[in-house]
Order: sequence, then C-alpha cells, then structure tokens
Amino acid sequence: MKSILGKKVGMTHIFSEKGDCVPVTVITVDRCVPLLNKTVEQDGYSAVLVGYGERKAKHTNKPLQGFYDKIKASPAKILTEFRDQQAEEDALGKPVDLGLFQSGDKVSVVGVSKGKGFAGVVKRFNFGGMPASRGTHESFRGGGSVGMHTYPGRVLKGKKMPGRMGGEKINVKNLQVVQVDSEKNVILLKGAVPGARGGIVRLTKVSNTKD
Amino acid sequence: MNLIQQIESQYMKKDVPDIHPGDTVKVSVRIVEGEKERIQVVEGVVIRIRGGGIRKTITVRKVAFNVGVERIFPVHSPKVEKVEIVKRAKVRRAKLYYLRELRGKAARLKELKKPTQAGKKKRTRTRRAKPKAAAKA
Repeated sequence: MKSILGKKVGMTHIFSEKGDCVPVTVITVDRCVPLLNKTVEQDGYSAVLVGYGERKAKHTNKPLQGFYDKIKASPAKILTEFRDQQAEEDALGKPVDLGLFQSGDKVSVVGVSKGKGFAGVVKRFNFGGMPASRGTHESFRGGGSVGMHTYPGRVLKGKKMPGRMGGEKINVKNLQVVQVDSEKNVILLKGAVPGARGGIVRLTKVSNTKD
Repeated sequence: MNLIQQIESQYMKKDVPDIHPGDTVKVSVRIVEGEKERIQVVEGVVIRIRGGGIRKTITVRKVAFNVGVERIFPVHSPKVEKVEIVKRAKVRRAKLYYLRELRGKAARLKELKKPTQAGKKKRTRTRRAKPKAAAKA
C-alpha cells in the first residue's frame, strides 16, 4: 500500500523556518481501510480494495451489507481499488496509518477537476482569440478557421473546438508533503490539488528510487 | 474553529498588535545579506489591510526622497520581526489609496487623541446603544 484517500479541505499558506511563504493544500484523511486483496490468480489482476469513510446503515442496501458481512467490515462510503498494489495480510480491515507519508516525501495526487461547463476555445485551449479592433465583428473569442479547402474537404480529427471542460480525472505529480499530523489526520501538501473543496483525492507516494 | 484556522494558528504570531488603516507603524524586517543578518526598520502609514488569519498583510506607505514607497508585509511572517504602532489617525475608509495622489501637508492624517483606548476597543460599524438603554443596564 502506497496510496491513501483523503478529502481536500482548502488552501492556505504557512511559513517555513527560513521565513519563506509556502502555499499548502490541506487534506484530511477519514477512515481509509484496505478491505480485500485482489490477485492475478483469482481475479485476473492485482489490486487492493479500499473503503473510505463511513456509510450509514439506512444507506446500505442488503446486497452491499452482505458483501461487508462476508469480509467482516463496517460499510464504507466509497469503495475503490488501487491497481497493482497489495495490502499486507494483517493490515486488512485496519485503517491506514498516516505514517505512510513523511514530510519531504513526494506524492502524486489524483482528483476530479472542477467542472467548467461548455467552454469556448479561449478558456479551454488557451487560444488567442481575435483582435479587438481592425474590423473584427461578432467573433472576439472565436477559434478562427477550422480547416482548409476542397482538399482535404473535411475537418481534421482532434481539431480543438469548444466543448465540455473540467470535471475530469487529473493527476498532479510530485507534490511535496510539508507536514503530517497523525492526531488530526491532516496532511499538508505544497501547491494546488485538483478539484473543489470537499472533493475526494487519492495520494500516492512517489518512490525516490526507480523500481 | 475550522481545520484551516487550526493549522494556521500553529504558525501565527501571538503578539501582533491590533493594526488599523491610517496607523503609522514601524516595521522591523529581518534582512539576510550573504551570511549576515540585520534588521531594517520601515516607518510609514498603513494604507491597506488585506487577508485574514495567517494571510494577513499590511501595505505600508512612506515618502522617501520625494518618491512614494509602498511595501507589503505579511504580518505573521518570521521575517517581520515586530510591528510597532507609533500613532493612530482618524480615517473614514478601509483603503487609503487617496493618499497616493496627495503630497506634503495634504497627505497628513488627523491623529486620534486616545491611542490606547482605540487599541483596546474594536472599532465596529454598529451603532452605539441609546443612552437610555445603557442607563438601565
């Protein structure tokens, strides 16, 4: 296990010993429990099934309750798998300790970015837009021409156009762990983390040595 | 107190004075030059307070050699050794940007007579209680 689930609380900054201002994202970790190991022999792939948070009894339907009874665990709010990771046998069913991370470690963070809705090309692909003057009319933020002429006679695939932006899975790599508070279950990461406040993010420890 | 405030409070200074716009302050700044460290004092008028908690900054304006100089200090930064209030002034707005256009005598502010009391009382926008009600209480 080198991953953990957490919740983005928000951002602030702290001061380092030198007096430099360090922007940090605050992440809290609720109950994050490895429940089950999935193996290549049994399931065709290797992963660890992880539950996060608590699920109330009234929100747990009978099939789900049956699953939790089978593995002898209390229902979790979120069930997810960490691929190509295995929890140790005696760690199953116990919440992950934050000691997994130490300050100075590098982690990569996966979260779902804030949805921007149907966005134009200026916002979505950083197009320059059109000149503000010199005859421009009704197309200040347009993308311009989308193709050529009779040849090829079509718009090339992958042409950058307006469309849905955000709300997708984003992986931010190599964020530095600034502080770990095991009592409060809080991790401070240097820099920004994808998603809105209250969003669930996955932190994965980046190994210093290449495996 | 929410979680972010709790984390901020670990790094915040306890002895930051109650600074208001219009205050004339002396800010002692730690400056590292090579291996040496010295303290520089900047004296000027607070024309802006921005942010809250650990992110609070003050903008101090002074006129040096006929050139207006504004410096922004994060008051909780370890590099800011201390902030000392020299005098307080009566001002009617939160951001004193209008001082930038004024020079010399016009750029003076009316001093507040009781600096100690003003420091204790938190200046608020609420109306004063009616004298009758106060007498009853």
